[in-house]
Amino acid sequence: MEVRRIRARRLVLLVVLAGLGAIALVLAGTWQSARPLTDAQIEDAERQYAFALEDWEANGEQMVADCLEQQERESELTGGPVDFGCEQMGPPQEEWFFPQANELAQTFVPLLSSTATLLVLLVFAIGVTSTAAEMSSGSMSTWLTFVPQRMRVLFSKVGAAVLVGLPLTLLLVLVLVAGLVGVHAANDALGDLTGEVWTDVAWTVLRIVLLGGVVAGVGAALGVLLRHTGVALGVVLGYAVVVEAILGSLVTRLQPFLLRTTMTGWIEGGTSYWVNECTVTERGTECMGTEVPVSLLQSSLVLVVAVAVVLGVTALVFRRRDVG
Amino acid sequence: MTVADEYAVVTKDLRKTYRTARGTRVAVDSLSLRVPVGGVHGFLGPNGSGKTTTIRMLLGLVRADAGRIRIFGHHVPEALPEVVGRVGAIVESPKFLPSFSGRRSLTLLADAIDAPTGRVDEVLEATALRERADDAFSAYSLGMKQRLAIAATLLKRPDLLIFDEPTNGLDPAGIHEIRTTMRRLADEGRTVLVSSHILAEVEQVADTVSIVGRGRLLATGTVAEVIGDRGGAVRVGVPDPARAAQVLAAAGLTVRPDGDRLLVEGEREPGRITWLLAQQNLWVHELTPVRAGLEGVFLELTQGTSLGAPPPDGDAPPGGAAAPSSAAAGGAR
Repeated sequence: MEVRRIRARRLVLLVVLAGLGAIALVLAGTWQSARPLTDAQIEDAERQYAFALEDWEANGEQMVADCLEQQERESELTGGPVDFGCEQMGPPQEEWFFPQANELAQTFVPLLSSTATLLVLLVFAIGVTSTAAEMSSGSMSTWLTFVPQRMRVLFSKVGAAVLVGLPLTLLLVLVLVAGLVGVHAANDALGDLTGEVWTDVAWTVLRIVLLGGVVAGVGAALGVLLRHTGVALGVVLGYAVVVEAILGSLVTRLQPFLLRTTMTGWIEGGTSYWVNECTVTERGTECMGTEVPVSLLQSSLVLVVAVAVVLGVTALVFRRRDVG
Repeated sequence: MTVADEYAVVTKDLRKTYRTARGTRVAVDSLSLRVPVGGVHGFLGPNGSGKTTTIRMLLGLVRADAGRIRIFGHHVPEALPEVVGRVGAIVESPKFLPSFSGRRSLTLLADAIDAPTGRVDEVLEATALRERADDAFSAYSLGMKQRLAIAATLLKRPDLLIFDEPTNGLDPAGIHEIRTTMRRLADEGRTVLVSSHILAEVEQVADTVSIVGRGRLLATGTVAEVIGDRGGAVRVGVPDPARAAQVLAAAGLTVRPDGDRLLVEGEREPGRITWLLAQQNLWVHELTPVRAGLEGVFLELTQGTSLGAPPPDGDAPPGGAAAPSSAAAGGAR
């Protein structure tokens, strides 16, 4: 019944349309990168390649000699070995001037992952507004005069948001998958879509759909907690700026617990983040980037804890709060 | 007969305070109400006197700081789930999702309480909303919104109906309609608790009343008791009002000029006034009993001062609001 109540809202339809619009934009961008080169582009590339080759044949030896000389000078200045990569210099290769279209087999999961964040945010908005509208319009108080068991009401609304979020996310992701396949097939850029690739895609889709359901439920809980859609979305935006963007970049230790790391780790089945370790030497400050892996399990645990905290706080507050 | 059989609602020393930027505001203060089973009970008071807060506490929407509530003998809010099926309520303005039609809103509520499918059509019919049932709630007039809210309360076939300011914003026809509906519901054997600050409309329909000011009970009882305790007056037309006033005052009556007439208070037997004046050769040409209205009683109880929202603690005058009247001590039937 709660599910029917959410589905009957016009906003759900609007969000579906917004999701489809976002997918259309993504597909338009993908179309550009998957499109084969036109005759004019090929002609231009050939001209550029011929020019570069001619330049190398005429000046290649001198370029290498200049490089070695600058490398030697730098080495004397710094007092240590310096490698400018002069030995790797060689004639230009033809493929440098003929960029290959992106093949779906290589970009399928990253494309799904990058678009999923937007889709999940839209589903979150549905969750928030499904309950916040009831709180701000006062229809929650009408509801409670019929069903005064507050925890039952809260969790039925959260559950309904999950049940709406799951199929909605599935619908949007399937449209995205079909669109990506269609766009790449039309441009003959599917690549080698092996069973392994499809398995990866299937798992990714499953995780995105589950995330959509969970996020819709969390949105519904936040709608009850904060009572206004605008306030809830504002709090989330504020959190994204203050914690995810500012604190996240200042405090490296927060990285594995950030939502963006967690969501990427969950969707892609694991992720990583970079930590810069800087040391001061006689030659100045030297920084070295280290990649730290984040497992799927770790992302799952952070997600579960975050969801439990939001639901727990909402339940505690809603249990005792005066309802206007 | 037990208290639970006799009274639909009983509150004892109910108290609710709100924290505001200026301090603590007492919305309801030691309020002890008794709403008899059956009939219409008017819950009267100026705006901000604690009526809506009290009703919200009865419905478990607002938590009392102190005191006890019983509805049909069940302690509220603890046992509210057990008794909620017998209670239908409208709190302040009707609240439904604006884009939903009346029928959809009622159907969802009916599903929530496992009401039979046909019940929605019955209550739409009972509230004369059937023809507009499929229009969006946002397209309804105020009167229709109010009727939809009443329809929602009727889904449960409740024994107790609680209406908070149900005629707010309605035109005279809408007010008459709601009043008639309340009376009909009471005549069917239900208890109707209706709050209002418009006393005249409640007086016409209520069997019993409770009057509150600044969150405190000022008077309670049947309408007749509450009005009767304050006596009535007799308008007297006489050729020499000044001398007549002296005669009546000498007999211990309270006399006030009323245009070219006199208003005599404290004497319920008009014949004695005639007799007193005739003895002095003052011949009465008009003798009209003036019945005290509930509104007059209300104004008398509140003494013309604002008994709405009290100031936060620290701003309250010594002694607080008006003291409860003797009618309050007398209680209801």
